[in-house]
Amino acid sequence: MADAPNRFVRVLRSGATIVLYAAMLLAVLAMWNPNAPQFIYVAF
Amino acid sequence: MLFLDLWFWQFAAIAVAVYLLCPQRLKVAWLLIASAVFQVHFAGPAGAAPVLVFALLTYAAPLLTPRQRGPSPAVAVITLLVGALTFYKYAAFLRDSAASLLQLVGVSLPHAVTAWHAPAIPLGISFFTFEFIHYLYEVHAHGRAPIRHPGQFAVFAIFFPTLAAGPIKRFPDFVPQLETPRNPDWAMWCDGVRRVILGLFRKVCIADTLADVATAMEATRVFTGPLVISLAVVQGLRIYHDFGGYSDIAIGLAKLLGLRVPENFNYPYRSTSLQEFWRRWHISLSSWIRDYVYIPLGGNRRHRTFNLLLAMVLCGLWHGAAWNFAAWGLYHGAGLAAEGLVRHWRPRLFEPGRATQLLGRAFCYSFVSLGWLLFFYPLDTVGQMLVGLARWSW
Repeated sequence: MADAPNRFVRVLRSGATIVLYAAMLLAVLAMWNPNAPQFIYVAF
Repeated sequence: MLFLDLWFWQFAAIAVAVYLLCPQRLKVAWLLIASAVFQVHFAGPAGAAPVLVFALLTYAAPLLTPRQRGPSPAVAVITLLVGALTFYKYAAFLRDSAASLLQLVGVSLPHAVTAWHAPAIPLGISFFTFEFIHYLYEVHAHGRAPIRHPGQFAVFAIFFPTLAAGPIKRFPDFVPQLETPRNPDWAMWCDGVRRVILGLFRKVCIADTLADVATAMEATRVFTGPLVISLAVVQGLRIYHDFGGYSDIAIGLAKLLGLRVPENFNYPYRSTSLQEFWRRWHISLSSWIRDYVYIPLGGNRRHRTFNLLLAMVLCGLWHGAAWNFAAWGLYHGAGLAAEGLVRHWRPRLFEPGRATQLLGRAFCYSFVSLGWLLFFYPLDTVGQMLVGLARWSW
């Protein structure tokens, strides 16, 4: 029973991480620009 | 466009999916096929030829019996690789610099030389030549066992996530993973997905937005003090997220294949000294320069200042054939040398403590940020910026 709060925190943290990365992916798709500048170091 | 190309993500999805479904004995062969497809798609068959030729020579050199007299095959191939890198990247730059110098004394180069067009630079030449030199040096000078499996060597040479811009791999860390290739476990797979998304976010949402901000600031053409400072900060954050994002994607893709490649960044702007900054910034390059330029030159044992300056100028020139890159390297070399002297005379300044760390962090960040002006702009533009900075009155 003592593990229950820890488990809850772990699940909450995992859920928050998934939401955060899903939001980041959505932002990437929304801002995707096919004419974006090349990665700087690829030219090196 | 590489990682920003829609083709690439279709290719990567197939490459990863087939790799995960492949039986273990076919995984290396599949990685090789996928990497070859990537190379030919982005560089073309002609562009893929140099890496193929140099990879073959690098693979064969340590396996040949050294002759009694003359340079060993490994040394000969290292010389060839340095020559090829110089030819592809710096021939036109050296020609133009020589022409400018000769013009000062009224001499001009023959027309055939000035009209010569340098060939296109092979994709990733700065990265794969450094990996090959590292391999040959380790086998030749440190007696490490060469890679005998041609498939494993070929994957080390053209591994698609790191081919175009690193991280620069070390073969003792990378090749053993190919001996018994395994699918990533769940934690590694999740971390790979996380790194790929993070890398795309850093590039598309942060670095490219900052690039637009920098372009708008440059358009004013009047370099006032606040503008110059802001440009230095914006460009410093832009390159960090651009190359950090690229590295995240490369490392993430490798993890999706169950493979580990070196990290390139470790929160560099948290550094409290320049020495620490170079241990945290583009780690795979700075450690390469340390191991294969700085230490062979003599390192800290003799002529430390000269070794530092030369290593850092070469590090600067590695980024591109232009004087501003050499100046950027010299700037950091001089900074590191001066910091070494201060460390010797006033060691207390570098002792752990809240005040010294805060001061060190502020100094290091300011020094590095100002240096980005040399990295991004030609020397005459930097001159105008410095004049604007000097005229800045509060």
